[in-house]
Amino acid sequence: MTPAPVSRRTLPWLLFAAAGLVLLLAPRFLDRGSLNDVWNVAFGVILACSWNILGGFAGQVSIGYSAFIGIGAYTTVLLALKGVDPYLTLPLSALLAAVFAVLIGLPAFRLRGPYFTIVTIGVSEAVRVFASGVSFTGGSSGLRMPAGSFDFSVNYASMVALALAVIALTAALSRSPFGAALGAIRQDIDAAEALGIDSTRFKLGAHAISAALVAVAGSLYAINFQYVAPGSVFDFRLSLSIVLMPIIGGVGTLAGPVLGAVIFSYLQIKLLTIPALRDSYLFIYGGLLILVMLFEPKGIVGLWNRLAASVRRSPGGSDAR
Amino acid sequence: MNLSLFRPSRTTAPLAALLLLGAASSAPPAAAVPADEEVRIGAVLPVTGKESKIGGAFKQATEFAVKEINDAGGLLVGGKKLKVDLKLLDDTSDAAKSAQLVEQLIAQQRVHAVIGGYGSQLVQAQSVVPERYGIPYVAGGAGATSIYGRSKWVFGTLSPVENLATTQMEFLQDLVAAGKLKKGLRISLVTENTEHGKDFQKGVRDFAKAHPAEFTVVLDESFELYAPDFKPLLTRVQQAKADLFMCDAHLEDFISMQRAYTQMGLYHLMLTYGARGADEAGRKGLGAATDYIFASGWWSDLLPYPQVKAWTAKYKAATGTAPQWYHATAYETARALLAAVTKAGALKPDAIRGALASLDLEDSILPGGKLKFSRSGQALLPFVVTQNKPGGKIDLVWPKAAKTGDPVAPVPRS
Repeated sequence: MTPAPVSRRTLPWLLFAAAGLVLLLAPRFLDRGSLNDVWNVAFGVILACSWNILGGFAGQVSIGYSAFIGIGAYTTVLLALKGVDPYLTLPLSALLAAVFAVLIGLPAFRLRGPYFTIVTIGVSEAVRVFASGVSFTGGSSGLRMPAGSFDFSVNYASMVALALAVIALTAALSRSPFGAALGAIRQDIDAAEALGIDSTRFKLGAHAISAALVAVAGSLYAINFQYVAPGSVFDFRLSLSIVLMPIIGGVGTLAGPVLGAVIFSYLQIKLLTIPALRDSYLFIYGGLLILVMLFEPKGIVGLWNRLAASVRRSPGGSDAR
Repeated sequence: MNLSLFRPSRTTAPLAALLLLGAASSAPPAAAVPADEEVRIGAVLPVTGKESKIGGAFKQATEFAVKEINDAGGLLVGGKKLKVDLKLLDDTSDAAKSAQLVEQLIAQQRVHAVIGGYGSQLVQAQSVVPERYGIPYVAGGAGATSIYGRSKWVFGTLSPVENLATTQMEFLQDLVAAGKLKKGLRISLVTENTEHGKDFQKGVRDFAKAHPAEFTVVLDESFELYAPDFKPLLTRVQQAKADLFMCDAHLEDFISMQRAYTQMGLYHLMLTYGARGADEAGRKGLGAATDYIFASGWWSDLLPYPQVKAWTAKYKAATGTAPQWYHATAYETARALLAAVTKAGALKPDAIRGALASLDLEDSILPGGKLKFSRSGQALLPFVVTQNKPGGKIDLVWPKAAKTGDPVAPVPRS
């Protein structure tokens, strides 16, 4: 009896599951330094893919996502200092960030395009200034987690599992009616509303989901680094890099944010360890951003698709007649 | 409705996971542990970014200390001279990157010990990493007490900021005793909202509370680190009508605040910015506006020790830079760590840590002339007080036994 052939629809998910399994088992065969690199990449993937739900699928460009990282990180540290197990704080981090996203989104989504973007920058800076000015956040010095609250293997597994879950979730969302509605909003919000799509409700939903995911990543970040400060977790540069990753990789695609996150997270820390190339990552990202804006708005994934299409059309290619 | 633009192709799901996998497989399966034929010392400093002025000085002094050892044939470890390989990285004054880079140095570059950064907030972030890996760590640029005593692996050469504040209060008290200032001095206390600032605040408050006849704190406010505008805060200082202005600030904030202070025409009988005031960068930027500010650094080239004179001359000749307190503490931090490695006689982390804990560095250029670490890991050394004088002159005015000039009090109105 011959085994049933794996369908073209199932194969990608089998490969995804296999890759995920390898990553989760990586502590058995990778050294700690390499695991740190994977952790960094996974963190970047969560941020980029989560942002992509609102920024890519719905076309609402927010440059204030560091606020959600900060909310997650501070929720975890503050509760851990009260004796709560840091991992038990993750649901609350997600909930608080989602509520905050809705509260901010209600007035902000009345604005469109660059006006919305400017509001998100303002909100994120206001949150940073507030967090630096109040004492319960530790002020500019920040707060440290209580001693003995760290186990890297658990944190690594949680971060990688969350990254895989976020990829799977964004894939599922993009194929769902919810994703279709977000796509309609991105393409023409007035037409979408004329078709009966309540754009504010869908945008709020996307904002809340992505904020919750980013906040959980922020919590795991705090557990790993055992220290949070407003200057780190509410940093505007962090918000910018969250946007850069999907733009360079390919906004609105599934692979694009992952690709952008891999390049950004991995290269940045590696280049910083080479004194001669210390600042080169800024040039690389600046250069990539200019190239993407000028020649390929769909990012590296768009470029890849274009090249693949031209290869298919070339003589001898699969589409050649 | 055309959704093709955002609908991912069938290849994207596995591609996404494979990219993650690629990141994992691009790393070596098990980084080869380099042989111990050299002493690998890691250092993560803010060479660029907001703390770069002092971070750059730390870099120069740390490299100078290592070069000195290597030029002399290397560091004596277990009867053998080994070259010191300094792996110095720039955290761009970013706390998150700072901790990540310390982790990189330990986990991937396999350093034997780490020299910490500058700035209490950056060192706070770094200082959780050494405990995780069991690697000795010595910071030369963080005086906040909350950093120390949590991990047996963390040491620091800067004495507590609280002691700095107490020294300044003792100096002021002496001015009262000498009749230069009158009793019942009202203090405007302004501190950055960091652990550094809180320690300074505590030092002043506690002293004032213990000496109510001489001092009263009439304004006690904190400000955000790297605040963009100090005029609102200084307006409240003006309204408080205090006799003394006592502030604790980082170099950048000191420059901005003193500029605003001068522009607003504020006057106090005495004024200080904690450890700032004598810094060359501040004096260059502000000129005569820094005259008569008194400061308590962790070092001064005016210290009356022969080793200080010799080192100052040597450093100036080798680098062309007149050393400030941060050059000296950075140099002594590297020297203390390397001396501990020699004392340990091996490159094992436990041995180096033990040697650091029991280190008694003779001929230290720091105040007191001897460097050793307390049980918390933080050095407890005396402070000096200097006062800027017109024409770019600086006098050491406290302790009295070491003074190079008399303090000017009250400060003349300009």
